[in-house]
Amino acid sequence: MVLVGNLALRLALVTAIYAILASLWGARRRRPAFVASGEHAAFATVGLIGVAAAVLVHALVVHDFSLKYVASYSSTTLPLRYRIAALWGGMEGSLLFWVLLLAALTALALLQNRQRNRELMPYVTATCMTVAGFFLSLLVFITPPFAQLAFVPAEGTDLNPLLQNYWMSIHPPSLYLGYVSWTIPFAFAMAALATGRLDDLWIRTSRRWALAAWFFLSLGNLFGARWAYEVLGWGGYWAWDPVENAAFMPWLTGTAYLHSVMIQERKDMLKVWNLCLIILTFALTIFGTFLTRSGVISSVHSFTQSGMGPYFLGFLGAVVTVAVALLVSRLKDLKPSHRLDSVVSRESAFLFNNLIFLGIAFATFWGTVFPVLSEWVRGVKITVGPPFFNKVNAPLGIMLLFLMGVGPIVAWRRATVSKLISTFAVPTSIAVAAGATAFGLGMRSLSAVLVTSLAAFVLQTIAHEFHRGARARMAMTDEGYVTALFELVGRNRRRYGGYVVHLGVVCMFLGVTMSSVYRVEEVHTVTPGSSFDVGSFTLRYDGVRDLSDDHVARLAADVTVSREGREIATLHPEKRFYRRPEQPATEVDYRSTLSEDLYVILGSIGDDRTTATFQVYINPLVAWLWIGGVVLVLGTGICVFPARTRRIAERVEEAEPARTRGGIA
Amino acid sequence: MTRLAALALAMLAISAVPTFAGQREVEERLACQCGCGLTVHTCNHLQCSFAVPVREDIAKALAAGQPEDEIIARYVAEYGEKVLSSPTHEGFNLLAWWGPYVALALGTLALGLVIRRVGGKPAVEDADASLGDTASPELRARLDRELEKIDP
Repeated sequence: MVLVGNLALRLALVTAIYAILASLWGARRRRPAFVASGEHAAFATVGLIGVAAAVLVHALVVHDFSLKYVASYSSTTLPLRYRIAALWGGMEGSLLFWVLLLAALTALALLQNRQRNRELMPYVTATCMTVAGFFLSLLVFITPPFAQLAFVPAEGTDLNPLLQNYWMSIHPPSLYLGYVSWTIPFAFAMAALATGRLDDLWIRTSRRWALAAWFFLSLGNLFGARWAYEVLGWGGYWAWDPVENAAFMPWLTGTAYLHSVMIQERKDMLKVWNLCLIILTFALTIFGTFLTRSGVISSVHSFTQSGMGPYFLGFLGAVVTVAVALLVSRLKDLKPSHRLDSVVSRESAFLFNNLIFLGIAFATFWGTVFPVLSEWVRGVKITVGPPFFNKVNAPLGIMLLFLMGVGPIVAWRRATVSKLISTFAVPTSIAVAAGATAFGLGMRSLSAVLVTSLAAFVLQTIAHEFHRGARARMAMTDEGYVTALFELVGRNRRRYGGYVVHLGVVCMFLGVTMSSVYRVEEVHTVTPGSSFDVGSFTLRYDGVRDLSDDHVARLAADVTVSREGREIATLHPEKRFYRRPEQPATEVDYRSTLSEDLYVILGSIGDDRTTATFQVYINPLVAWLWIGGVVLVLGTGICVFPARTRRIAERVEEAEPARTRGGIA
Repeated sequence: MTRLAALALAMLAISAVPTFAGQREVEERLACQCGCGLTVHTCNHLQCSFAVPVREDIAKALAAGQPEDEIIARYVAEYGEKVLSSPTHEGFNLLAWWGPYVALALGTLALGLVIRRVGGKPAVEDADASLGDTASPELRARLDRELEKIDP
């Protein structure tokens, strides 16, 4: 089996290289047969990588400890789901998983465009296969997943206990999908530059890919936050760890891109800017991989230091150089056919929104790399931790929230002063009222009051947009209000789906701000049967139970929670001790409501089990972070799903070439 | 084996440190050195060899009346600047704090210049421009109203 895996990887590298050469040759010499051959080679690459991945998963499932990877990241007692998830639990497997996703998405893009965009597709194939080829080269020459041990151990070292959680099954795949999917819009951008098809064709064609990439990256980040919240046991969900930052940066630039492409599609402006954004977003996905695997910056997420940093850095440099050179060579063809009419317009609001997104991305990048910079320049190691990122990014985030409210209600092209006053009067009044109410209710944190106020501002503008649109439909048709609302969304999915995403983001802003500013945190050591108060809750420690099995030793505390004398929940926070590798861990328990989470960590248990120490947090409104995530998913779904009229047009478009082919035949 | 593991579990301890005014602030200003990437306050390692004794030390120092800045200075003297969870506000480190805002200011300036340079001048004739000088203000106002209806 190992032979099959190794052979499959080597052949995949060969087919990927062939796909690049055949596609480029076919495109330059106008030889469709070579282009088709290149595409077939790309399909073969997917199959071969699939075989290699299947061999590795099989080895993990059947405990083939002769493989170094299997011995390092699994054990005989590791449950099946984690043995499968161990595919992305280590360096080699994660790279294999990455390239498998990339090849599969490339194949999907090729299938999707088998009758369309034929001029662009050879370059799309070549770009995707170049990226795949790089990862395959690493797997073949630098860090082979099928390396064998000189002797076969009876037992494996096992997967890191922190990874033995169901989030492991969904967080890395969604994050990787997010990272990898950005390759497709980037490939279309490169194809546009290579062919000179510099209108918005590449953007329209790759729009859903960009949305899907953004969607999965959003999910990946949210799942990661949720994982941290449930597993890491420090009451928080985002630590500004370099690897978290690495996933956050392309999300920021990708969000900027999704906004600015709307200007290009609508006004034929910002062509260079959009190309810069997609290049930057793709480069940041590779930068993220570099950060995780280079060991240059220490992170809790890092794979073992592997010396792979220079390869990633070299590839990143080469990609950016080629992309920028292509862009510069086409600059003269990228003149906009329209220009900004006014500084007070929706176009300008979008540009400022882009600026803030890039500002936050730069601040995050700056904070992530500054320790390295400090060491180079001053020879002094410093730490740039969460307090820095919170301080620098919070004002920028608040500006972004403001722009999120402004963007949708400022007119395209040029807004007049009288129009602005009439448009802003109501949302501004509501924002002021919300801020004053928050202050009146005792809120004294400036950021909390500002976010409350701006959230009200944005919510009013979103609600007004839906209401106005529905009323307009009602005036033109005989639809009722609810039907008009649904029809409105159905026929303008992108616009109203976008508003739903904004709604989700507002929820997230509220959740993050309130849970950060008004968090309550206490530590109590108690004996069984005794109680303590935290906020308005009373917690009674009832005792501890031993839930150990062969895989992990577990002690679970029983804690009864009361409020105003009424029992409302029983929580069971645990302490665990994994047997392989021998490592302690916590399993927090919490009671979540819309108003707050009561989050309990079992800190310690006395030697004779007569005492237990609990760390208790009250995180106000944190549930809204996750609710916002769900709303965001819903909104993206609305955006991605094509409008009814467009679906019909697409079917006609699909049918047209088929008929033509039939005619020729 | 199970008993041994249970014993090991029982022995793991986050010491219950009594809290003093300012303790959280001091703990937040210090970066944990165990590799968790968090502050001393938020380090989630149960038996962290750094955060646990430092929390105890901070509690003792605050109880003894030592000012917060002195406690921080003591740790900087012992471990160097890397023990601070954020860069200091002096010298080269100012670049860390101000770099993003300078970049943002430059970006805003560049954007302002671009908007000013091109403001109000369509690059090519569009539907609006084709109205030319002959279009009356009424016609323009009507066009704006119609456009508004299509896409507010």
